[in-house]
Amino acid sequence: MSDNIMRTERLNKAFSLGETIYAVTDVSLTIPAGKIVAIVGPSGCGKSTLLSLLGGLDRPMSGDIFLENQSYRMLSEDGLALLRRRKLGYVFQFFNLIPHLTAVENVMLPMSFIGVSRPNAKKRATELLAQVGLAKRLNHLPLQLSGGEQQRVAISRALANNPALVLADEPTGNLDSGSKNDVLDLFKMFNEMNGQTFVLITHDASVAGIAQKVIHMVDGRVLEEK
Amino acid sequence: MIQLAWRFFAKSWRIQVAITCLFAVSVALLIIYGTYLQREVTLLEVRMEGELQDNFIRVELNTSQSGPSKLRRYRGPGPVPVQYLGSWQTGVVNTSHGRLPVAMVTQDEGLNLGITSAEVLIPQTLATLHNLALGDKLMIITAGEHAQFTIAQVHDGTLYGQRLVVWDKNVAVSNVFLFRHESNALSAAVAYLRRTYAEGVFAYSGSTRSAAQEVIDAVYSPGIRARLGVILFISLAFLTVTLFSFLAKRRALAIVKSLGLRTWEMVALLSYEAVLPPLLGSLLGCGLALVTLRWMISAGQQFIIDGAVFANAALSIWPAVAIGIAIPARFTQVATVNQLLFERPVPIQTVIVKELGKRISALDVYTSQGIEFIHLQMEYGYFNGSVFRRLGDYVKQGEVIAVEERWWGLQVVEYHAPITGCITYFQDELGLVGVSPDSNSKLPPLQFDARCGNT
Repeated sequence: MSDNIMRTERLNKAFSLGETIYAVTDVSLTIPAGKIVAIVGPSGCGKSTLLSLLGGLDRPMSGDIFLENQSYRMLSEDGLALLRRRKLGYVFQFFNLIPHLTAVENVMLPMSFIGVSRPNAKKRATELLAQVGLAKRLNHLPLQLSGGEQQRVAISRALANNPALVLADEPTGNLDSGSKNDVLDLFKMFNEMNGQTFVLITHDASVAGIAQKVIHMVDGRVLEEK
Repeated sequence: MIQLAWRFFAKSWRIQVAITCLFAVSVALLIIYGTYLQREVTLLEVRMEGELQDNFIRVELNTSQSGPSKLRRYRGPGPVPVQYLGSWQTGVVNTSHGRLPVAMVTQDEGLNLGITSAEVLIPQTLATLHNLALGDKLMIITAGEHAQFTIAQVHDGTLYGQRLVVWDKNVAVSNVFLFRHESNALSAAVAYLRRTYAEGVFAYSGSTRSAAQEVIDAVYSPGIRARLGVILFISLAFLTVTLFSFLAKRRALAIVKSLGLRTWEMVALLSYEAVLPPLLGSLLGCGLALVTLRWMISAGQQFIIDGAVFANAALSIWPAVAIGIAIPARFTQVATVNQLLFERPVPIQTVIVKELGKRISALDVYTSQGIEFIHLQMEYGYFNGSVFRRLGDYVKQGEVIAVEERWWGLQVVEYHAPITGCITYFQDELGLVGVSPDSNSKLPPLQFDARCGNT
């Protein structure tokens, strides 16, 4: 098996907003398997756009992405959906929980897509939520949770199917310092325990501090990889 | 997923109940009106002449002719679907019981009246009217000759109309022709005969009901148009609600798609909400119509409860249901998660440009060296899109050089590298991009702005 779980080839993404904004320009990078990788850079440099592309949430205008040597370009939207359900976990910057479902139901949802039985899904969702300190908030709707709690539910949901790669967009951006450390410990624990790869987008130097590889971005380009 | 679908449904239960009630009332009205129209058709059919039986087709012409027309060549599959039986001339004759309508049958092969030339067939209505019985004598005066006929049989009027029927002795022409069609080939037979008798009036099994239906359709056309209006109204109302509901759920659908929900699962998710109100509404409407019709029948109205009328009314709304599911399903199928999440336009067509559409003679000097070109669509020297490759860049065949969005993002044009090589030509005012298979091209590259005015 390759040492890299993911690689990109000259990714480009632009948006037409009156004038053309080149959000991601010729980005070629590799994500080593089993590592925590941080993507850092100033606001508006294209980090979130890049993560969307890596997660298959958006299509690059040119270039390609390979997850375990599977080209995204060759996949239909359904193919990408299958890839996301089996191999990817995604933590959105603004949580994106389903407002009609409780915390535990939100975490159970991805498990229902891969055919996990309801009792087993509930058991695992409860365990995951307990690990992020939400054991007493299982049956609360997202609107009844604080921003930090919603973020932890979103992290639990991303980890639900035990994906090989977890992509997190500012995962600690809405957490206090205590919760932030808990979440980072959780990432480290899952990384060490299951060998899962984490790609984190952050401004926070302490978050980048736990990463084994840091990718700096400026103006849509990768400036350096350490 | 059922739980999620149910939560979606429960979230908008008021509007769902309203749609269900709208469907129920509409379906009930359509059924009751349909049943009323059907009764009118039946009543009119009874008043009209009886049906032709035994696979007969009768063609009645305005003018008389000697013998049947030569039928045109049959072009359909299998044997000719009709067989000529006989003909007669209709008219009115003086009789011992006054002027009576008569059918004078020519003695062709295939038509057996079952009477001799001195006998007459009489319709039941005339027999009753004139108090005539079998064996009675009837005097018929034709062409100044008096002839006495014996009433041999009574007929029901379906084949000859309410006419006396005799063998024709003096008249050599006919205006009514009788054919028999093959079983299960009625429509083919009628269509075939119409090619010969374009002006003829046709009668056959079912034609009376068709005629009655035509009369009722004409008389009740405002009501029928109103019925179509009701179907259109509830279809549009349903589509509006479904599509607005989809737009309201667009974010939630983006999230479940990001978690790995596939198209058919998305269709299933949307179907719960799209199918349940019409289904419940149809069932409730049928029940409501059934109760109302039973009450009207018990009150003395001559209605017949017909399953076909119920099915037609209940099914008339389902095309809208299919559209209400298909449009959002197609939309979620082609849209990326971010397009759904951030309400970006979803391209419905992608055009790929990978070669120069036509020869440009000014480029011959370059193309002779193997340089292949593509042409970016420029407007006043400005390219309204994104250019990703510069002069001197190495590109692989099929690699995207530029992308342009048209029609508010509904159409995307991708400009692909025509060959693998190096971009050695870029004319930014005309939008010409040339790729050389040999990066050491002998021609000097032209200077240009790689982003074509967008930087």
